[in-house]
Amino acid sequence: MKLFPIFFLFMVMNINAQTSDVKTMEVEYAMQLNFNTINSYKTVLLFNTSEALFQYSNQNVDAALKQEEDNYTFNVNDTTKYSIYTSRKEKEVTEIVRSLDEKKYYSIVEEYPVIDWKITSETKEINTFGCIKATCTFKGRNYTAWFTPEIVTNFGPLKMHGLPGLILELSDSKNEVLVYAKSLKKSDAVIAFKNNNEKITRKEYNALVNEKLNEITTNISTKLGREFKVKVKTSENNSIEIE
Amino acid sequence: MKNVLFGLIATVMISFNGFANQSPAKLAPTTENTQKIKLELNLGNLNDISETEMEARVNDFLAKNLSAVDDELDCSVTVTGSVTVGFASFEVSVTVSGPCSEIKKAGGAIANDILDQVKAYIKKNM
Repeated sequence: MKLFPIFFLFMVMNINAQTSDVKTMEVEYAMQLNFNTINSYKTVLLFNTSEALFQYSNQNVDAALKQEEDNYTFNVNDTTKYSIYTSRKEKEVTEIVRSLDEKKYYSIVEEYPVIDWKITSETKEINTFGCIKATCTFKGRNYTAWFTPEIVTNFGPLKMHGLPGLILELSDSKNEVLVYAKSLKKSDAVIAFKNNNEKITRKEYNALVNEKLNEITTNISTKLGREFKVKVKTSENNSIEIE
Repeated sequence: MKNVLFGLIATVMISFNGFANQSPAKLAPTTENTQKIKLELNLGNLNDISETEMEARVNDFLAKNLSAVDDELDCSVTVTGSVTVGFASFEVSVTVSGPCSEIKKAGGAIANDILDQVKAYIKKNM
């Protein structure tokens, strides 16, 4: 929990989500993924009664090459804006991912997952909203969510859904995934989601990324002289979804 | 004892652990390859030379020969990068090994080259 800022601006713009003329709401979340390095994401959740669009982009700046004796380390971040679209009607969750070396996008389509939430009796106030604690296990992580029944929706950040209110805070037991709402407002935006991308599974996508990374390193090998031997290893270290 | 011919064999054993420099991240253990090179220096009759001269000869010998050792031994440089794509974090690790003299010269350039290529891929078309 150390990664949560001491305080954050929570701008509420006269929200009354239960007002019938509100078609779409927009929630801005701050998200941190604390794997080997801390990555900060800017995210926005747009939702109405039947669908939600969660968009996120990495805000980290690439780390410079660091040398420690014969070891060099670096960090490169893809700052593309990605989307996760959830449709209650279609009973699907679609995640958009990008090929590494070309402007090609793929869709990872999954069935609308059933999340087995345990709603506890613990409560706390976040800004002016009364919140209730709920826990679940999802895609290999144990999550704690604080949701407010004052904003009626089943949608939440990432692929989270199924609670009787908006999630304002979300964290996993390892403190590797931290999400908290910064602001929310009514929105005139229309959730427009087009999906003409080639479909791919998560496993296939990971293999594709590894293949591209191997290509890069193979290029390096061929550029070096015969007196050098090159050994390459690529792997997916961490992701929000472990399973 | 004064006239005894001393034969001093200075043996310089240089061990090198190739492929031992791995990042602390979750990498599979790799084979440790230990290389040894033996250098011999015969200082002759030590009664004929002063301590200062002996020291100078040893230093001179090491200066002349240690650079040659670099060409015989293998060194390695490991470049480990974390590449974040969307929500996933991938690790790429490249270990380049070769003659120490070459690796010492090219190590930084190899690391920069790998970084540039990874960046070029990731940032292209963004």
